[in-house]
Amino acid sequence: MDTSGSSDMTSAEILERATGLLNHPTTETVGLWPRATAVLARQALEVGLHEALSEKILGIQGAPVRVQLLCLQSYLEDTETAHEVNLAWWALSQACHHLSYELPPTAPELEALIDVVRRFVRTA
Amino acid sequence: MDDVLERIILGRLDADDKLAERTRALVIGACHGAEALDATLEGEATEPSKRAEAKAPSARNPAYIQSIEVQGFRGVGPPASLPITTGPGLTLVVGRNGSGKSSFAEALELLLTGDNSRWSTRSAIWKEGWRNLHQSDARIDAEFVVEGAKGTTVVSREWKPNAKLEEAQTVVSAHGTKKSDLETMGWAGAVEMYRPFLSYSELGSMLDAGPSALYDALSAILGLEDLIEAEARLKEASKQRKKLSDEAKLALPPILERLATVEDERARLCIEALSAKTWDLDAVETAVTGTEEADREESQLAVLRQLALLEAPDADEVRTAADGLQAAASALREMGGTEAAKARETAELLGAALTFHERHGDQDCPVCGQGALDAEWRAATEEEIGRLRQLAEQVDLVHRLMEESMKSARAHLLPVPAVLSSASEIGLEVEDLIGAWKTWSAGASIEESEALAQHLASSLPSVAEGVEKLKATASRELQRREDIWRPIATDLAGWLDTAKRARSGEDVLKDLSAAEKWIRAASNDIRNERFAPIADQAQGVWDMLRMQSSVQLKKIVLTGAGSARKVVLEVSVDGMEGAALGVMSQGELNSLALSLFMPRATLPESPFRFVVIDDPVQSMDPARVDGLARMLEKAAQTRQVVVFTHDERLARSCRLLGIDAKIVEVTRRPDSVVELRPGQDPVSRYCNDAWAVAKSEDLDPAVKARIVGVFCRLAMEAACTEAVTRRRLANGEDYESIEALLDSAKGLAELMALALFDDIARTKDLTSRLDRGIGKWAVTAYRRVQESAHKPVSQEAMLTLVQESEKLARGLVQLP
Repeated sequence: MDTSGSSDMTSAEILERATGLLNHPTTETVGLWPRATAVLARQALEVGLHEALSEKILGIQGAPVRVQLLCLQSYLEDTETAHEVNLAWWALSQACHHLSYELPPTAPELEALIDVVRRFVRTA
Repeated sequence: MDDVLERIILGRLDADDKLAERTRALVIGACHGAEALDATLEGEATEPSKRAEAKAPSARNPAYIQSIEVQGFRGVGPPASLPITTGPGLTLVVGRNGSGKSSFAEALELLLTGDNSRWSTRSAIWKEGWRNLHQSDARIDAEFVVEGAKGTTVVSREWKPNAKLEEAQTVVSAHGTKKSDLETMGWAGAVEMYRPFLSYSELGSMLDAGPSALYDALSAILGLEDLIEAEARLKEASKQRKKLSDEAKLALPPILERLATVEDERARLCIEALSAKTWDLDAVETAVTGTEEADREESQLAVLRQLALLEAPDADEVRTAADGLQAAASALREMGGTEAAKARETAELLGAALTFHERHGDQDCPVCGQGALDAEWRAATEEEIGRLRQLAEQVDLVHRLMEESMKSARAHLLPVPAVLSSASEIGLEVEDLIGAWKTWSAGASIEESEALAQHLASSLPSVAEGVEKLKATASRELQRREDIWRPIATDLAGWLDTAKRARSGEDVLKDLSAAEKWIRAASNDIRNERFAPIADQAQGVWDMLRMQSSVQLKKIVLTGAGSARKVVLEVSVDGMEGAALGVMSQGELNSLALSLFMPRATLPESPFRFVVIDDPVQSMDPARVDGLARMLEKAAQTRQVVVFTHDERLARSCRLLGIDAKIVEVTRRPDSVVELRPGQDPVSRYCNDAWAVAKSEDLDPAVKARIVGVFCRLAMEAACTEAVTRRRLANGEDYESIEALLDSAKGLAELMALALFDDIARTKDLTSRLDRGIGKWAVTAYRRVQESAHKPVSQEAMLTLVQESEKLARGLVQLP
């Protein structure tokens, strides 16, 4: 079903686009960029997870992200980063769902979350 | 004093027949100003007020906001404009904390406040950090629509680079007129008085600032400043008089001390006059001014003054008298005592002979017998008699002259003046003079004229000499005493002036404090009369806001005076009476503050037809947010209500309650790029965002493919949330439990299960239900958005997905 070829993007490529959405105002993205950025950042994180774990655990890509995050805890020597990534995923997921009255994250919050993902993607 | 207030005061004065006339005059004087009060205190009648007709206070240039544009100020970097629908209505400005939304409220407040009086209370960090780091040009423009004015009125403030906050001019440009300053709007003072800016933090601090501050904030709108000033004037007048009194008392002891060192009877007299419980200021004044009439007879000064003026018999006059005596004596001697008598007697004898001749005719002289008594003789004799009579008259004249001379000479021989004996009593050497004078006056018994003349000449010099000496001595003594007394008298005169003013001040003190008390009581009554409707409104606002709170606001009264002034807030909690602040939660306190200040901000007298409320939703439970929404709806019927809020609770309440509210969303990108867009209900919002992504020409297709599905899913989630919330609210469920239920739902599947089956567990039945109930396309759309978080959506499928997602979401939100 994926015909755009975008599924082949690396975590770093996706993250770069998340940063682009955040930093480059366009009239088309006024107001929607916070959630859009969060969506891309989360996807970058998830692709990053896949990149980190697919060689180590066969068939991991089919597992739910929650499970993958648990696996990361045990396979990544740096448990602090694993913990951070876990929290970042949770925070980004919040922004990808409708909550009854919460507004999407702010630019500084997104920057901090992207930072976590970037560090993880680099080390993984 | 404003007319309305003056009429009320005059009416109350008329009704009060127990008030003393002067107290009444003082009240009127104080109401008319400091000068009038002074005049009243001076005893002048104050003119009755000429202003008769009262005018209702009217707001100057009532205004609605049309837009606020901000650049380089606080959280806003490049220019950003917040449009607000002009006229009454509710606008919600929604943005996360840090989105820059509050910068618009602060900018507007800064513009209207004009000078920096209010900013001075801001923290140093605020004052230093007002500039936006990402933009060196700073300016604020607010566009207003002013009632009765054409077009719009723009109020602007622009700062040069590096200029400080206060280093800028606020400029007003009205349609078709020259630029002018903020003064021309006539809003000065109104910002403080009506405060159309209600911020959450300020509301909290209003109640914490202490009872006096709260009192001041609430009573400022009641227009009683004139009365408060009148009271202050009376207080000041009393204070000055008391101060004068104290000054006089304080200055007295050194003066008394000095007086005690002086051996002057005036000093003694003054000490006596000033030692009494009530000072005898008249006596002191007499002593100071030293008028002779006032000198007591026995006083030494009187004696000295008399002695200084003592005169010996005038030497020239005495000499004249003596000469007169001598002259009379020598005239008398010259005529000779005998010849004069003989002439008179001869005239009498010849007269008798003439009578004889007349009776008996011519004949020989019967006396000598030789001569003849005939006509010739007769003629000669008549002549002789005339001569003799003239001679006798001259002698009479000389005798009379002698008598006069004796009398006038004796007139100089006065007895010893009484003052001389007084002089000896005060220790002056006068024995010799008294002796000389006694000798002098003893001359009165001398009968012989030449002896008397002799006495006059010989006795006078020792008297004159003695008198001259005594006069000189007395004058010297007077001068000596005066030299000592004068400086004291000068000081005493100065003190006396203070003391007299203090005395007249003391007389009026009682009336002054009565007038002060009267005005205070009147202010209190008028204050609470005027406050009553505001208190009613505040109670009305509270009743809307309190919702499920058990705290009922019973009474709001402004009471007390001076440092004891306070706002009494009586509440009942579950029917039990109590004071407000102790029994309320923080959320309730904020609602209470809002209740108190909302009426103030929306008074008809205020020129501001708008109210800006910053973040009132914090620490409010959802039910109270509903109350807030209803209260705002009501206020928005007559006012432009702009609410800044950091989440969507208020917007949700408005939506669910069917309250018409314009929403503006604020987001801030890096580098302080603040963006605004109109807000919508969440389903429409997400659908429109999905369309925007799908149709975007700027976005990277790969990015579009990765994000579009999430917006579609968000739209469905929002639709389900909305449907569940409405349904459950309608069934009487409260927000908290609905929220808890929605929070427990994991993802779209469980939300949709709740929306479709009201059962979070029936996720397995979703597709068959969608298939049967709606159609195959709905199942496809649902599945696609479920995958979309992880799988990009193809370009070809994108528009269809958005279209079908919107259709499904719109359907879900309509679920009963």
